[in-house]
Amino acid sequence: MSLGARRLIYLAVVVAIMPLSGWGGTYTAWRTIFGDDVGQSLAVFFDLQVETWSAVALFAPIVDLIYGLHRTPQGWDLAPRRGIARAAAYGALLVLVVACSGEGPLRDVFDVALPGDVAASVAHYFRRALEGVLTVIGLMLFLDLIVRPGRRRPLASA
Amino acid sequence: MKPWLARLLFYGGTLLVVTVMCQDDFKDLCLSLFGDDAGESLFSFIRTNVEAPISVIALALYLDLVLARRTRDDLPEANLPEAALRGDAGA
Repeated sequence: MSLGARRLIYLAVVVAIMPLSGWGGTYTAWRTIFGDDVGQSLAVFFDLQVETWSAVALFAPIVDLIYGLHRTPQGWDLAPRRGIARAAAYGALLVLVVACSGEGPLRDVFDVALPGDVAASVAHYFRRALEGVLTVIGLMLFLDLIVRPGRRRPLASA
Repeated sequence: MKPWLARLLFYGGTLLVVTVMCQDDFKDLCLSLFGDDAGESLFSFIRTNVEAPISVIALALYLDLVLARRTRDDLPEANLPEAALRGDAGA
């Protein structure tokens, strides 16, 4: 299977899990398999993982496409894009932070195109995804401030 | 350590952490160690952050299943100039 196909399958699964975990049919499936009490608990548990999927869905493409994480004969290595691409990624994430922070205004925007309850649900998901966005910004800062300078240092002293 | 064993310990251990974080016994342990108020607060904090180890598993799966077989030859052009500047493009 090609790299592109593996990427697409992974991201499709992660993105699909988000709405599916809150779907009534998924709750019914959990209860059918594990019984009412345990099934309901598991359904709620996975329905509450919005932060998990938002962080993963954002960070996986960033570490892949922006930082070029790949294997070499010696192990893992990074091949980051130029500063402008990384700055654009930071900018997009900061816009997302603002969007996720404003659940009310976001709900009003979604309300234009979606039914009221769906708009409220999607806006609430965005608000809960804020933790994931902040996590990804923190990881990018770690890569830019710690990992990349750390890789250059031995070369400079050689 | 064999790669399959390392993965078994990593994924299994992280799943174990997730399971333990959600157990009433773990809550009781927090209460007995830190008292009712601090123990309850600590348990609530840890339990609320159960997304963290699940994120670790999901991201590790991306590295294991998608990027583990990606070599320098698979990198797009945009990722290569800086690598060339570092002088390790041919490594």
